[in-house]
Amino acid sequence: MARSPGGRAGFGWHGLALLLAALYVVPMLYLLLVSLTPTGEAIGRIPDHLDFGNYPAAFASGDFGIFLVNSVLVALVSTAMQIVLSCSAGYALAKLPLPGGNYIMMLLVALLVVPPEIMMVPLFLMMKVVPLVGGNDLWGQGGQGLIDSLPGLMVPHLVSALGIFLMRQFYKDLPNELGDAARVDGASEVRIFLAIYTPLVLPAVAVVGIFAFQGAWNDFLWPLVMTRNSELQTLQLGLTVFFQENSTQWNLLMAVVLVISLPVLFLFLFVQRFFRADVMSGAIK
Amino acid sequence: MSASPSRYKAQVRRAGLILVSPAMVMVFIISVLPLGVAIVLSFTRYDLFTAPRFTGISNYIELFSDPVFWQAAGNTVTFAVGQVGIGTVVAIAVALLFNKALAGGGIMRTLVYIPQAASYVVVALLWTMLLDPSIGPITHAVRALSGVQPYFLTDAHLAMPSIVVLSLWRNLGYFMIIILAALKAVPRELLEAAEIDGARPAERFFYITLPEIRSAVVFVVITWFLGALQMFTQSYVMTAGGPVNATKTLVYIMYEQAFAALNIGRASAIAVLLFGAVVVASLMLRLAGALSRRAA
Repeated sequence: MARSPGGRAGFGWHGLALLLAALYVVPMLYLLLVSLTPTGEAIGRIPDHLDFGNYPAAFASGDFGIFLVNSVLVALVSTAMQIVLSCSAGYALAKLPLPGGNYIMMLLVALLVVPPEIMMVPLFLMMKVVPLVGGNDLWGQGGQGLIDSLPGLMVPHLVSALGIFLMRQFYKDLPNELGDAARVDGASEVRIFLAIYTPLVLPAVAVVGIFAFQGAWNDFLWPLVMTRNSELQTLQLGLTVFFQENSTQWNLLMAVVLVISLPVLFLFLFVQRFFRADVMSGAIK
Repeated sequence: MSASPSRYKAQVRRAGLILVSPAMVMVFIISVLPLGVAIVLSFTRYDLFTAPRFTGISNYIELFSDPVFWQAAGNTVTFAVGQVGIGTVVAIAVALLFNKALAGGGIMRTLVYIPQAASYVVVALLWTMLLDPSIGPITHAVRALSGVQPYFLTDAHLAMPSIVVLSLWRNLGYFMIIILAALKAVPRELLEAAEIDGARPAERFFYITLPEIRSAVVFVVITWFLGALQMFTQSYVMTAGGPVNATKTLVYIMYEQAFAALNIGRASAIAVLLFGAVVVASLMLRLAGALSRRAA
């Protein structure tokens, strides 16, 4: 066994670690078991047979198919937009001379601590008066604006101060000589940004993208506020409504719980190695 | 060579403005403008249907004389201090454990990290089942051990502690990994030299390890605490703020005021106060972090 900085571990430490792991594995296995328990059988016992039909049944009940489409659209568009905006602004702040660049950085750092929940009510009112959409006139009156619309669900996830801040840190660590040499060779600024610097920060792009996807996919409060029409609900919201109406159908509920957690989980496991080394150091610096 | 240095300069500056503007416009719309709107509306009476009417500081006065507001503020602080206070100690302890050479350590670490990927809705529903008074396995276990039937989510003394525990369960992995990364960066020579000089494990931890990982711990406390001040989903899904307001948080009563009572002015006042609390808390925690650096 490799010697680690914390020293060799004996039986006692292994026992503790196993106990800790059990606190996590047992609830997860229990969740899996319940999701496979046939309807009508007692929850919490080992069932006679495992009913994989719970999964299609769960997604056929309610409007989970529509919720899935809504969640995928909101999360993908938000992620793409957040990556584009984080890279472009992060690059400009790190590598290009900007009037007031320091003030922009101060603003972003200040915004890092401001929870989006605080902005929920005023942002909702602003969405209501967006001009020329949702029946609104040029002055934003008369209709419902972006309320009850997919673009409205995306709005708070389109940009993040953290994403810009992280990308700026990573671009900043790259040498200026790369860009200067390319300029001498006549490369355009767009080319320097996209073809020279950005390929070197792709791990950071992956991390920013996953944070963005997770934020949009797992959001609950904003969809709760923004949707009146159940056809525009996302999975997290639709699941909560389903729970409030059918609170005893634990097997179907847990099937949905499991499935809607998988996308972010796979993304996490996929980029786990970037998480530790890159982001954490960038975030603490 | 095609361009003069001064042409580069203009070209580079224009590129910078073009690249930074769209993001900053969005940041302004999503984060800065709403704050201004909230401050203005907090001085008005507004029900979404008739035009806002200026009422001075009456929203704040009404809030300060409303016992439910103080209860929600107290619940929010209890939740944040409870989760982060216990959580930081547990995260350091678990990180120390995983910093040892454990067989299967990587897998166990990943297991602890997994709930971080799940939404609060998902974690809340899973734990609602685990704590259910009739089918919950935790309920069964506690009843078997103590002979008393616990009602975790409907007993006013148990509801908030239950939510603290499941939130800590979800968030532990993320903060533990941050501290673990800091632990790995502690110079081994320091620890070995201290060991040779006869320092006991506790002394090595408090005099070497803890000062070395201080900035990571400060980061964890600030991030975790500010996140905890926004708690809403767990209470909404698991207890609907009950029993008798025991799990209502500031964000919860802000939501209620805005979308159930249609009292936008008062909801905005809560938002402004919460913003003030976030600013004060982050400045105080930063100050405490800086002081601990000077003391060390």
